Amino acid sequence: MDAQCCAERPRLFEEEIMFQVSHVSKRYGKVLANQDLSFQVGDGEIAVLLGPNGAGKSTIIKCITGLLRFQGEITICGFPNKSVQAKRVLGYVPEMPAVYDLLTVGEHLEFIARAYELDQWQEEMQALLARFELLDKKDKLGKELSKGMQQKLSICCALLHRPKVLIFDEPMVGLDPHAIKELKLLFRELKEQGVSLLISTHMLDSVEDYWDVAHIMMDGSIAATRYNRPMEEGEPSLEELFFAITEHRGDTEQ
Amino acid sequence: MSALIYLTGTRIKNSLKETLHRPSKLILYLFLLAMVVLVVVSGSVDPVEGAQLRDIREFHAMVLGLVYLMFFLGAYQGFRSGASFYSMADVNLLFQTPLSPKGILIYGLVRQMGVTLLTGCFLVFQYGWLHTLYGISLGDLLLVLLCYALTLFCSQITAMALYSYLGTHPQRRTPFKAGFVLLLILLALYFILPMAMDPGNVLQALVDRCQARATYFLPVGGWLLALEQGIFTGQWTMALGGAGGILLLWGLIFLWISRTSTDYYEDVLQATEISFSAINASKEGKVAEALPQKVRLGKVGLGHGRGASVFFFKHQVENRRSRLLLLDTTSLIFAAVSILVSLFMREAGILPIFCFVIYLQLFSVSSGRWARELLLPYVYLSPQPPFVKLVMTCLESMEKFLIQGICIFVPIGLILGASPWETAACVAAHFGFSLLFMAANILMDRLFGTLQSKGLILVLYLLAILLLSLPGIILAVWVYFLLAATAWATVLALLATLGWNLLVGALITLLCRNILNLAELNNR
Repeated sequence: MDAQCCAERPRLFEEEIMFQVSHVSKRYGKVLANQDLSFQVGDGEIAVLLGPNGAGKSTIIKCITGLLRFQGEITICGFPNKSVQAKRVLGYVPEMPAVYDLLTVGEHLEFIARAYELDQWQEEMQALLARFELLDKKDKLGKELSKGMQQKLSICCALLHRPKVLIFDEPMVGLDPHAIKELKLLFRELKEQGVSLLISTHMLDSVEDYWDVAHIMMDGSIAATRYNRPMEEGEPSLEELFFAITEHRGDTEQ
Repeated sequence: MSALIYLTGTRIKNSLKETLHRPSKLILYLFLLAMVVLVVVSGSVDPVEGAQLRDIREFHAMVLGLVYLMFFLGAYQGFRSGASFYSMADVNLLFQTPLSPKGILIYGLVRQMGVTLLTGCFLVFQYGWLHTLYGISLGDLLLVLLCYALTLFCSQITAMALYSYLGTHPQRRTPFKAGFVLLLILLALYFILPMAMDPGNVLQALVDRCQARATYFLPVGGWLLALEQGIFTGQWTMALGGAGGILLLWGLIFLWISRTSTDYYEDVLQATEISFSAINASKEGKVAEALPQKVRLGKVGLGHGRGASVFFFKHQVENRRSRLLLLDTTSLIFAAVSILVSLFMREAGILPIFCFVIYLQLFSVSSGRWARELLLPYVYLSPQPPFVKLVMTCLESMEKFLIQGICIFVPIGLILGASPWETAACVAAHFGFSLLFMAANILMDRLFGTLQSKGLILVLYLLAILLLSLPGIILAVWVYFLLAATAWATVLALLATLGWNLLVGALITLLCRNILNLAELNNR
């Protein structure tokens, strides 16, 4: 299966490599959460990480964003992922919304602007808040927001400094239909602007057709990689491939 | 009912099995057991011959203080979120079953009894000084533990009853709250007035009032005091009277809840959800912050900071919104307890009080904003050197330590009649110890941040503190005895600990300068 689907990376774009994961392994005690993972995401490319619960998607994302220790190498725009230069061009939307209870929505964005030493950020803030329907919540405290609104705020925080690499961990969870629509639109816009995106999800229908490359993860490894190109006859769809991999394991276990 | 008995039995059985299968948990329990044995054995050494024990009535007064503090803090929850004896699993699974709600209520009450008894175990660690000062036995202390558990239980069912009643009569919330506050003021006046009338003998006046006949008739606190003191002194009529009062309260509340509010599920739902998120936060190593229910927003905007310094200014805004007066709720309680204890230990001088304050500080340092910052991704993601970020996230705590020290030691210095130099040295040494504790916390995060067992981390933290502070303490003792004949002995001994603690704290911070690059976001 790997041989069939993990064909050599096609040159879809004349891009430079925006970030690269090389032979990354991560262990929690005795549990091997990620095993020798390698992949790369190019300029203006949307990569998705698919996989069932517990496949190791969130772990590799946390490794990339510098939140976990790991073995191997991760570079962002050529810089080691934990360097200041890499952090400057990286945006991250965690699975669980990350907001401060005692800061207002507007203050969250002011905080990000100051932390990233941005100038002229107010206009961008207004646009983001308007886009995600948070303008009227600007003076609401983080603890007063619903989970969905917290998630929208997390997204705004990740976008404000206009990162070149954006990483989303299960971004659709808890969002209302309008926000999901806006987010999908945003993915396309960011792609056009040359931003590299890595999106983790276990909901196949949420990635639809905007992906460029899909990595299907299973038990901490990449079980298959599929590029979005016209399908050849007899070739399984992404969904079929996903279930072939994830359900096959269940059969063998039984 | 058999399903509830099965559930209770299986829960106990499985928690025991889990303990045996998780070595870290087992080690922690064994360690705690060993510590209890150590405290009891070392504390049981009879006081030095000729040394006089303090008035045992002071001990009973302290029990009364603890009972009222815990009762009112718990009962007040009735005006906010109520109290719950249930876990989220109970709410989601048990409440859906066709079992009798009364049966489920009894299950909750029984379960809560067990939990409250366990939470009082910290009292056992107070055995050493209580035995030395008041000559109390382990049995006496276990009696206090029982009273503590009964207090918590009383406070929780009172909170549940209050919440349940106010849920159906929301218009009565304000008068009830006013009544509650009035009751507190009257009770405070009852104890404070005799002290105000005899300012030269405050402690004696307070103890006399606690032991007055009328005190035993005061609801909950008085009854529990009667129960404790009755058993302690063998006055069984008094003990039975106290027990009778408590049983009557339970009976009335239980009857009232089961009669008037058979559909109490809704009442406990919010409290269960709140305690569920608090338990989850605690399991994940998050330090829960006691926030006011209605936060006063005040001025909006951070206003200052660029780069890493924005963390400090963000903390200032958060503090402004979460604080009561100058300090947060926990620090205010610690300060009040320290000042109260200094009333009891006036003759002992400022050093024993200083040690007590430092002991309390051990457990409050980890609640600083820097510790909460490590649980969100921003501090890791922001593009600045890790050491600068570390210093900036800790700056708020340093400011807090200084304010804490002043708020605690200025009143204590006045109560004890200490010199301004001694007071200033206490503030400075308190700052030094706080810095050392914070550095030790950082060290623990650096070395053991990924450990799942938070209890084990606490044990390691306490060991690290012991090792790191010991040379400073030895130095201080040496300085003290070297200068024993002079008036500066206390001041210079305290400053010696400051010097050592600053040095070690700075060294640890420097060695852990890359923690924000090397540590793992601990929120799995």
